[in-house]
Amino acid sequence: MTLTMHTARKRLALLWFVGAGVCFIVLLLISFFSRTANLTDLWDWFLPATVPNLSLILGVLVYTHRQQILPEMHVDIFLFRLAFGLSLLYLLLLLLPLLSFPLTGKTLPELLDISRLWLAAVQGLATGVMGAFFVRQDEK
Amino acid sequence: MTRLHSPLSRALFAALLAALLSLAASTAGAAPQPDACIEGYVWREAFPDDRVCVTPAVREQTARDNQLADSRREPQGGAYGADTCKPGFVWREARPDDRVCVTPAVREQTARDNRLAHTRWLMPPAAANGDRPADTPAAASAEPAFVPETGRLPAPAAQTPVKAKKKMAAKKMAAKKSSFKLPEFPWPPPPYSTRLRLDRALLVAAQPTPSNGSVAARMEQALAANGYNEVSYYAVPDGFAMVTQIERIDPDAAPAAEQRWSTQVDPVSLIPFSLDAYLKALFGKDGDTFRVIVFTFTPTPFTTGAKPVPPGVAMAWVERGATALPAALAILPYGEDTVCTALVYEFTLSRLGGMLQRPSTFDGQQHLRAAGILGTLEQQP
Repeated sequence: MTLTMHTARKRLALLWFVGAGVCFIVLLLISFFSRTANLTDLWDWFLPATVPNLSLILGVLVYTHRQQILPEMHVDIFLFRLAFGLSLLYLLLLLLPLLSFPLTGKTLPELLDISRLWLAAVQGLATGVMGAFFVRQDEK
Repeated sequence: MTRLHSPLSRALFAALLAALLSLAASTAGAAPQPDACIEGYVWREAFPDDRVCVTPAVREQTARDNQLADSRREPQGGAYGADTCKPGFVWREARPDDRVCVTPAVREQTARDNRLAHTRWLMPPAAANGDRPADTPAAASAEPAFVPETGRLPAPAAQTPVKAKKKMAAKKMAAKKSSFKLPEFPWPPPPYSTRLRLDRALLVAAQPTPSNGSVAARMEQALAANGYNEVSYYAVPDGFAMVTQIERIDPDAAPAAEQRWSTQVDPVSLIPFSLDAYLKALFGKDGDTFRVIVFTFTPTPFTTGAKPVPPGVAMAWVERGATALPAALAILPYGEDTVCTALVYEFTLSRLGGMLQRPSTFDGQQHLRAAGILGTLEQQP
């Protein structure tokens, strides 16, 4: 099975925007309807967790589009699956505290604090492998 | 250099020593007795060395119970041996080995008096250093013997030099303790949900010369009668403040029947799963209401600060405050112009966080009446 760089980038971008979008909508609804949530803390947790990667993805996609570059080179399918898997894992871990806190005995702020531990680890891995698709190939 | 070999010199030296010891003893006797009660209270004397301060009515009740002790025991003994009480009576337990049979109400009153003992002494043993004192009568009985009939220490002249030295040491310790300063309450106080100015008559009752200590004791007793067993003290300008622990309240402002002192939130059940409950929890619509009451006693008028207090900070007030009023502050007279204002901080806490409820849906009187505090103050003699 082969995959072009262009397709791989689009799939990864889709995954990231859908995952981050779901989190964004949940947070938006909480911001609208909750009277007790500390919104500053909530968005302070979410934005650094997603915006850097989304900016990178969006920046590369816009750049290749404007330059009329369509990278047709084939990518290592293992590398793509690794990037996709780690990104999916990261986004699920991001969504986990947001949707599961009512089912635990902890409050959302407590759970968000704890989630920073595992998110930091997985974010580093996911961002590293995403670089292979959105940075390294274009430098070549 | 003077030598003490001559009989005259020896006699002069002995006289000088005796005069110095006498002076020391009389100085010690002039200091306030550590266990003397504040105005309006007397020693309970459930047993000879019982120096827990109670109202005269309670003291009379205690004496009556002592007289009737034999008639309330099972004549043939029972499950607890010779001290087994007749049906309807329980052991008083003014101290661990107190087996006088009394009614359950008296036993409860006795336990409450023991708990509040440190607030009713003129110079509470540990009030000045911020520790809750050993408030059990057993611990109190380790002190030198008092004369029960008078409620005073023996006259200084009758004390031996050893006792006088002990008294001096106690006085020094008391002075050291009196240097303890109450932690300061944020001032002006953070914005509150509602407030109530308490009628002075409720706090001083029939005391002709009330002190800060007696007013605080009266308030602490009213609070304890309504379940507020953890109360902390803070300094405010020209006075002091008492803070209750955070409590869960019902929609009618009465203390919650369940989980009153817990701020924990129960998780939404997975089996059976309720989407309605889940969504309510997700968007913080299932929050409970909590309350912290701060009683300020000061003649100084005040406004409020600009920044609302976060629930977590208000929760910590009771932990960070002093456990008792320092003796130096307790013995000061409760001024004619001192005003007690109850500041009610009402919070809504959900799984998403918490917020101060401003303004409260209830006024201060409704809050304090629902808490039972006003009712108790009105009923106290």
